[in-house]
Amino acid sequence: MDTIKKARSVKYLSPEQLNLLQDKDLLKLEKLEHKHQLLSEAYVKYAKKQESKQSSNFSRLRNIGKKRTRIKVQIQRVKIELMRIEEGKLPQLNLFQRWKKYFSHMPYKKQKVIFGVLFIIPWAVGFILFFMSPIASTIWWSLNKMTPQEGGGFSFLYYGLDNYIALFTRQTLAGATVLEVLTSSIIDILIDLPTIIIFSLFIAVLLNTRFKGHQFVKAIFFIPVVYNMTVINNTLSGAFGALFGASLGEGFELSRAFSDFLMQIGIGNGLVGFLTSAVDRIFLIVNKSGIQIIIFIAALQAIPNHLYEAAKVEGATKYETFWKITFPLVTPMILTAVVYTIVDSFGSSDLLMFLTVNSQGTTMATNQPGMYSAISIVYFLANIFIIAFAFLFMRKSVFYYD
Amino acid sequence: MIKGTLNKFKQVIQHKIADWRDGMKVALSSPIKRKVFKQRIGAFIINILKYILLFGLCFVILYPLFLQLAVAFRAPSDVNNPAILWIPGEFSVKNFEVAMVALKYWQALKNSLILACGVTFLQLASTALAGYAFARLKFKGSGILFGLALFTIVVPQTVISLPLLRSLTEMKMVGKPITLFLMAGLGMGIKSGIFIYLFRQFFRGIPVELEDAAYIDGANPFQVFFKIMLPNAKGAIITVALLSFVWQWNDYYFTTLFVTRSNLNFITLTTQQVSVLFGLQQALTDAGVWSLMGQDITKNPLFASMILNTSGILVMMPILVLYFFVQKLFVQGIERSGIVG
Repeated sequence: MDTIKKARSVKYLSPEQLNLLQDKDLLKLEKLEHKHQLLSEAYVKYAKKQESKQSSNFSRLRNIGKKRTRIKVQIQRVKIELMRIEEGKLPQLNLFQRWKKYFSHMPYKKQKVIFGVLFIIPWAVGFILFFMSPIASTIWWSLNKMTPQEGGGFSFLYYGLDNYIALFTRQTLAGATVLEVLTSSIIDILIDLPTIIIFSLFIAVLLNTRFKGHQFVKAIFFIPVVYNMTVINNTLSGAFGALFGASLGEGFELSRAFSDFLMQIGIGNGLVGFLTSAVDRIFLIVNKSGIQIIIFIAALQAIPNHLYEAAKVEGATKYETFWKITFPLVTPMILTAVVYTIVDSFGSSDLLMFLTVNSQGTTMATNQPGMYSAISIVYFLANIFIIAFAFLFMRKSVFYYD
Repeated sequence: MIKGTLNKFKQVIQHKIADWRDGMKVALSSPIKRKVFKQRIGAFIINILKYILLFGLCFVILYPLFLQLAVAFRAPSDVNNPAILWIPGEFSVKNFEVAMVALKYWQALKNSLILACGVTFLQLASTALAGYAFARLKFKGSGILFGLALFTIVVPQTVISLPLLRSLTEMKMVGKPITLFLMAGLGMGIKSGIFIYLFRQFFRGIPVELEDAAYIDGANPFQVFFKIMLPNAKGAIITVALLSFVWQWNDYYFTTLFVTRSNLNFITLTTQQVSVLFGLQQALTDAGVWSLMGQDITKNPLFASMILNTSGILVMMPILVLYFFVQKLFVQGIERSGIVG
């Protein structure tokens, strides 16, 4: 029997320490019992009062009762400890164990609050350091005229709203004023938004059914989430795209042949333009809606199945089930997807060009931080404005199950 | 001999046609059966349309990738050859060699991996803790804090970047990857707000009874989180891990601003990708592609574009490999994540 593991040696308190502790505990016990008695008397007294008054306010009575039970538990704990002391076997606790004991004697509600605060502290510190203070200084900078000094710092001169006025009256980028760029990017987003949302919802509904090869199709549909599409856009359709005319010509020829075919059939010019532009944009739209498809698939999976079964029993068609069950239950996630889309597509808006280069062609971040801050604040406000608009627009149609 | 088989074949076909005719007669015999038949045909057609649409869109997604590959394997001497569109005349990996040198591939790959792995791990830790606290460990004012966490999603990074850069420079933290780690660890990394939201929604979806049972058995909230909630949150963890890894990998803005711009030795694949063209001449010499030098090929914009494209593939290769390993888990994770709590 030499394979028996060595039991973890437990250090017990010495007799002198035990005596000390016993005195302490006895004193504690006396105090607690006295408190308990007082509370019991108060409880009885208050209960009688309550009875004679016939009032319905029991909150005080309940509080007293709670306190009494808490003290009862404490008395019990002290008694158990005293019993252990009489046995002479009380393990010595180190600091951590003592703290653990103290903590586990707390009610769960308190423990939860303490851990809640502990869990949030890292985030909260980051929020103050890396978010709140930069935002505050951005707002302050945007109200100042800042000129770089030789030592590397900036000299501040309070300017009021002059930065903003200058921004809207004097700044231009390739001949367009800030207001023009802003409105055009907002209009772009408002056009793209419904297309992306409808497309991704549609695809999510299709992907949510089981069919042959659905694993494969799903895997491919999430590639745009993973793949850095800006790399492809830069190389194949951005500045270098024109140089690739030879190899890309095919794609354009396809859509030209398509439009020629439509023209010959006799469909009007406007419709053809729309269709071909839609075909050209489909690449962009597919790539922009990866996360939205994820959001919608998760939402569709969360719809309880019994609703569909009930609808089927009632004889509803697939069309009806979609509009009466699926769509209303997905609406909260439509809101989420809308917010994500706006934030995402605003990230690539032309307004950002102002931040890197101003009309004189010098970099703004180093030379005019005040103006830079003003632009980013305007950018942020425009962002918020669109989201608020979408929110108000959709608020009434969002439906919450349960 | 042939005639005999032909006759047999004919008979079989006639038989089949007769069968089919009988079947149709039965199917169309009564109005109810006729209706069922109609519905079946409708469903069949819709199914076919669905397949065409989905696989067509798959093609739309894959098309540029194929195009990239086709261009990448083209021999440098065939750059201007108009006869070659899709399939390269001769397969060559010269482009890859040149792009690898220009990217400083192995060094950049190492840095990218370090950065992405560290950020992913720290971001997972901080956002999961915050998400769980927002979902279950509520205290006075935690609702407001959650609102602020959502607010961080909406604020564009350009608003905070400049003052942040300045204060970090004063603290001499710029130029080291620690800055990015710190931001991720304190829940302020790239799109951390979304991850907090995701985790909160997920934890809200796990039944409370599970936790209560653990509490009755004497677990404290810390134990409940690590032993009950985290093992049950695999879907959310995989989703968040993949997204945060990929977003860090593809991030250019923060990495350049806080690390690479003041410390040119610490390059990642994505930051190096942008400056591939500057070092092209040197890369050609280093890669030992002497045969190309005589044609003054570096001045050909098509060649430059080809190298850029190849380097794009090289940058994305590790991510694609990773994706195809975790793809199944990722899809399942999304389906079970129950983002809608």
